[in-house]
Amino acid sequence: MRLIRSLLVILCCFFSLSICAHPHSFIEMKTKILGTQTQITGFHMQWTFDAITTTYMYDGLDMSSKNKHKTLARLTQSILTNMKKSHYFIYVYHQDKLMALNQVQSARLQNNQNHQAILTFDVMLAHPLAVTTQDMRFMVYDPTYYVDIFWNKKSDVSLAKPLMPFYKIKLVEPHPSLEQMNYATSLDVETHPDNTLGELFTQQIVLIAN
Amino acid sequence: MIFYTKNKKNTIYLSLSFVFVVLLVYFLWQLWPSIVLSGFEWQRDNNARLSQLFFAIQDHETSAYYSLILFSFIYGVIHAVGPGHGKFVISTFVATHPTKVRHALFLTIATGLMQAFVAIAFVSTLLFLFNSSMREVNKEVPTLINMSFGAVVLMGGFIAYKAIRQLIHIHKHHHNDSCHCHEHMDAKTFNHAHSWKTDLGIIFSSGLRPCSGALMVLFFSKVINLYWVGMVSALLMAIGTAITTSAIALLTLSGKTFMQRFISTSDRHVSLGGIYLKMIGGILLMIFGILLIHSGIFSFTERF
Repeated sequence: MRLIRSLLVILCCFFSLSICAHPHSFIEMKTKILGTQTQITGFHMQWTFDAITTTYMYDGLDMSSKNKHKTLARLTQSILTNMKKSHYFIYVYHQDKLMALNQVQSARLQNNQNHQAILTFDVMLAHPLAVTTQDMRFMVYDPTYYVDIFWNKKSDVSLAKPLMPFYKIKLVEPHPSLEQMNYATSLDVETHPDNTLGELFTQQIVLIAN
Repeated sequence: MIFYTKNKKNTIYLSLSFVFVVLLVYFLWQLWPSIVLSGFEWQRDNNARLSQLFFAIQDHETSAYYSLILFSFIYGVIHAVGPGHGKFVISTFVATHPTKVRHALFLTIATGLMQAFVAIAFVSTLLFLFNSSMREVNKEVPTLINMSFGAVVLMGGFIAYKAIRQLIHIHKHHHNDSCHCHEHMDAKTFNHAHSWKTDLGIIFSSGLRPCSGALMVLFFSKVINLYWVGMVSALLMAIGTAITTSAIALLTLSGKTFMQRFISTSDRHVSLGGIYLKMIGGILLMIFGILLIHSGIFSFTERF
């Protein structure tokens, strides 16, 4: 019996390895938490795609200077349509309840000199939260972990000026436990391929009331 | 039931080394989450570095060629620690079959090269012959990977089948006293014969799955019109991966030799034990392949 158990553990080792195949794309974020003197209203996001993903996205598209503008506008729409299916990858929790988001606004796609696409957009909470709110936190992740969406440093997340007196930002790095990782990897095998991976490996922003 | 240890001292050595291995595995197991996380970070950095090098080559920076050569090679060495590259298949084979160092190296190097050639042939055929778009090529990748897993199952089945047939053969002769020597001979020849069919099977089943690193450079180099650079990079990666898989195969081999030193077996048991071991190896490969096919790990979903 013991032998079988240790064999299983070794086999599991090989499976945990297989999640190393992810992720394939990387997005570096800068985020501003928007609000007024009374409410937290939403987020301003700036997402920088890695150069390889950017190149794939542009492959086969008409990027001539004449049509570039139109092409990028169309691409932006298609990216947002895909993102909408996954809650825009943005998961806001208030008292452990997932909050609804409105349609994304003022989305725009640009390029930088490093061949990277930069997507900027605003997304608003369907029901703004009062600034007295405690227990607000959010994560940005692709559930399948095909894409790794991350903040490089804490200062990449900021508060709109009116919110500054009320909150401090805390960036929590992922610390998946052994049990969680095993659970996630064993769960995937039969039911939903990889759908719990993203959450496991993502950072979290917690608003701490002053 | 098959093995007997020589004496008490050896038993102590053997148990001590067993405890050591168990402790090592436990330690790695505890560190696992942080190992995986730093693996992701490593991948993120490399992805950026690779694209920078290609863009530098596009801008005709000569030094970028040398950097890319070095990068591809080191990338291969480290990347091979990750999933795939035939580590499991070859290690299982080496652990359960009498293998010489040269033979093990032949398997790992041939597998590494085959992976590179499969990646190049696969991407080139789809892109140039069928004019497929990058997205279409990406969709075909899981098919190829699953075919590789399927081949591993067949391969395991083939090894197990050969072993079982041999066991039945010996069993039959065992009950027939008049032919005692023949039985002995048979099992021994079976144990030491190198079957080119098995070799081909190993190389084919683990080589069929292209290295994801090679696919990445090939795709990317095609899009920015530097396909030949991508092919060179993919080949260099393969040499790098072959070094890692060779090291793992040789480690397995020396681990096996170490074990054998402490386990004495009678002649008859060497032959029979060897066949049982092969059967176990074959069955392990089958289980491994079936589990991987069902895992659906490699569903390349389109996110953007």
